[in-house]
Amino acid sequence: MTDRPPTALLDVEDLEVVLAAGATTGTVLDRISFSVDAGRTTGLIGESGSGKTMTAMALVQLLPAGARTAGHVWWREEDLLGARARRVRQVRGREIAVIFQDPLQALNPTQTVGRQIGEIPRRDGLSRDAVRAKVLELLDRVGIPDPEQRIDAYPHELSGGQRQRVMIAMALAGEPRLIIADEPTTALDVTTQARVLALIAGLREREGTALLLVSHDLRVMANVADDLVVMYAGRVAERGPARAVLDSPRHPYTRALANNVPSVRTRSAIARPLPGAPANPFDRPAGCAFHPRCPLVTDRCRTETPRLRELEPGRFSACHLAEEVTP
Amino acid sequence: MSETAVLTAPTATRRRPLAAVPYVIIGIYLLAALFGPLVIDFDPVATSVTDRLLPPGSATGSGTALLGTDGVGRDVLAQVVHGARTSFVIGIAVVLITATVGIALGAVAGYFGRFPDLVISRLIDIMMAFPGILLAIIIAGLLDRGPLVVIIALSIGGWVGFARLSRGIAMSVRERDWVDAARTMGVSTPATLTRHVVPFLAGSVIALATIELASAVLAEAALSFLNLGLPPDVVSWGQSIAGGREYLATAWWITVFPGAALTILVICVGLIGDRLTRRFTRKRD
Repeated sequence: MTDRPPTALLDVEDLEVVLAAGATTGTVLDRISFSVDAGRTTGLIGESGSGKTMTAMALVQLLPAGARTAGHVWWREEDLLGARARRVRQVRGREIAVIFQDPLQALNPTQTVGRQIGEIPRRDGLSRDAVRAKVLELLDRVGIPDPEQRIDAYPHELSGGQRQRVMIAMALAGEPRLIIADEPTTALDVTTQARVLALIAGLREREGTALLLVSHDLRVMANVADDLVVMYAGRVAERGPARAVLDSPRHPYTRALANNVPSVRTRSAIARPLPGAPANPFDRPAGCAFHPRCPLVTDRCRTETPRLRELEPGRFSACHLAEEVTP
Repeated sequence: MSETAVLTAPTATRRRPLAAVPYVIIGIYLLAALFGPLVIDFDPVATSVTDRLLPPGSATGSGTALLGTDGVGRDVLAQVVHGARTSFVIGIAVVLITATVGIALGAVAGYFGRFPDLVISRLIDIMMAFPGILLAIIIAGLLDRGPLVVIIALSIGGWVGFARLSRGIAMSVRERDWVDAARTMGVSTPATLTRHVVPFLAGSVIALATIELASAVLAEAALSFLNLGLPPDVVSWGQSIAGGREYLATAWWITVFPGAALTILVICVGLIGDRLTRRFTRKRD
C-alpha cells in the first residue's frame, strides 16, 4: 500500500502491534493503514476493544510495556516508529498533542492547572511572566471564564467541562500540527459534550490543525469528522470521506453501526442491535473477523482474510462483498 | 509556645481529647530539645566528685539537682534535656538520609520496572535478610565513635522500608493517566518522575518517617548504651542509661529518668506514626 497522497500529514502504513498476555501473544493491531490530512478531522471509530485507542497511542508510542510494533508511522516524511526516543519526545506535545478521555484522571491533582498548561512554554525558556501570559491567553482561547481566577486552581476545583477545556489548552500550548483526541467527550454530560465538540471544531478551523478524533460515538463523528476510519477487531474495516461512508457504507459492519444510531426522530431507541459480541483481537475468528456477525457471510469470508482495497478514489473497504453492500 | 499549639491542631482532637496527648508530649520534647540547652547549662566532661549519687531534689554546689546526680556528680535533668537534642538531631538526620535514598531507589525501581527494579528489589531482599541493628553495630564498631558514624551506621539499613513503600506506590502511580499525559507532552523522564510520581509518595512517606524516627532514636540509644555510639563528650540517653547500670540498686534515678524520657518519646512518636499510617493508607487511591 503506497497510496501516500502528497497532502498527508500523517500516514500510517501497515501498523502492527503485538501484545503478550501470559504465554499467548495477540496481534492487537493488524496492518492498520490510514492517513490524516492537514487541516482535516479524521475520525477513528469502532466498538470497545477494536483497537482505536491503541492505534492513537501507538502514534505517539505510548504502548503497554512489552508491546512489539511493526510497519510505519510516517510523520511528514519521517518514520516515527523507527525514530530515536529523543526525537519522539520532541514530536510529542509540540507536533502531535494528545487530549485524554477522562480529564480528571489525566490532570495531576497536585499541580495547579496553570502550571500544567505552562509545561511546554516553560520548557521553551520563556520568563515566568511570559509563561503566565501565554497560559492566560490559552485559557481564554478555550473559553474558560475568568482565566485570572482559574489559572491557580487545582483540577478538583473545576467542573468536568472546564477540566476538558484545560486539557485542550494543554494540547494547544505546544502549537501542534496534529491533535489526537481520545474520546474527548465521553466523560462529559451531553450539553457539555456539544460545547466541547464545538470548541474543538472551531479551533481546528481557526488554527488549521489536523485532528484525529477517537470515538465510539457515531453521532459525534457524523458532526465533526471529515474522514472516517472504521475499525473492527484491530483491523481497518472501511475508510473514506465521512459523509460517503455513513451514507453508503461499503462494509456490513459500518452499515450495522450506522443503522444502529438511535435517532430522536425514529421511535425505536435501539434500532437493530448488532448480533453477537465484538471479536477479541487475541482470539480473532479466521478469515474476516466480522464473519460470525455478518448477514452477508459466505464461505470465502470464513477462510480468506479480506485485504483493504480501494473501491473508488478515497474509498477503501476490507470486505470481499464490498460492491454488494447496500445502505 | 506556638509550637505546641500547632501540633495539637488536628481536627480529630476536637472529638477525642485524648488523641492530642502524644502531640502535646512531642511538643514538650521538641521545646526541651530546642530551648532546654539554652536554659540548662551542662558540660558532659566536667565532674564534681562531692556531688555524686545525690537523690532527686538534693542541693548541689551549683543549685538543686531536681532529678539527682550520677556516679560522677553530673546533673541527671541536664542529661535528659541535652540528650533530647542529641536524639532528635541524630533521629532526624537518619530519617532525612534514609527517606531520600529510599524514595530515590524505590521510585526508580517502581517507575522503570525491568532491570532497575530487579537490581533494587534484590538489594532490598538482601538488606531485609540482615538485621539492621546488627549491621549498625558492625559498622559503628569498625569506625571511630562519633555522631557522623552513628548516622551513617543507622542509615545503611534504614532506607529499605522507604524503598519498599515508594516502589509499590510508584508502580501504581505510573499507570495513571496524568503520567501518560505528561509523556505525551514530551516531559523528560526525570521530570515526569519527580513531578508526576514522587509527589504522590508524600503522605505515606511522612507516616513511615515518623515510625522510622522512633526506631532511629531507639537504635542510637542502643548503640550508645553498648559504647559503640556517641563519644563521652556528647550527651546521649543511651550513655546515661549505661552509666547508671552499676548503681541500679542504690541510685535508680540515673537510669530511670533517661530511660523514661526515651520510652515516652518512642511511644508517642509511634502512636502518631500509626495514626498517620491509618489515615494515608485509607486515603490512598
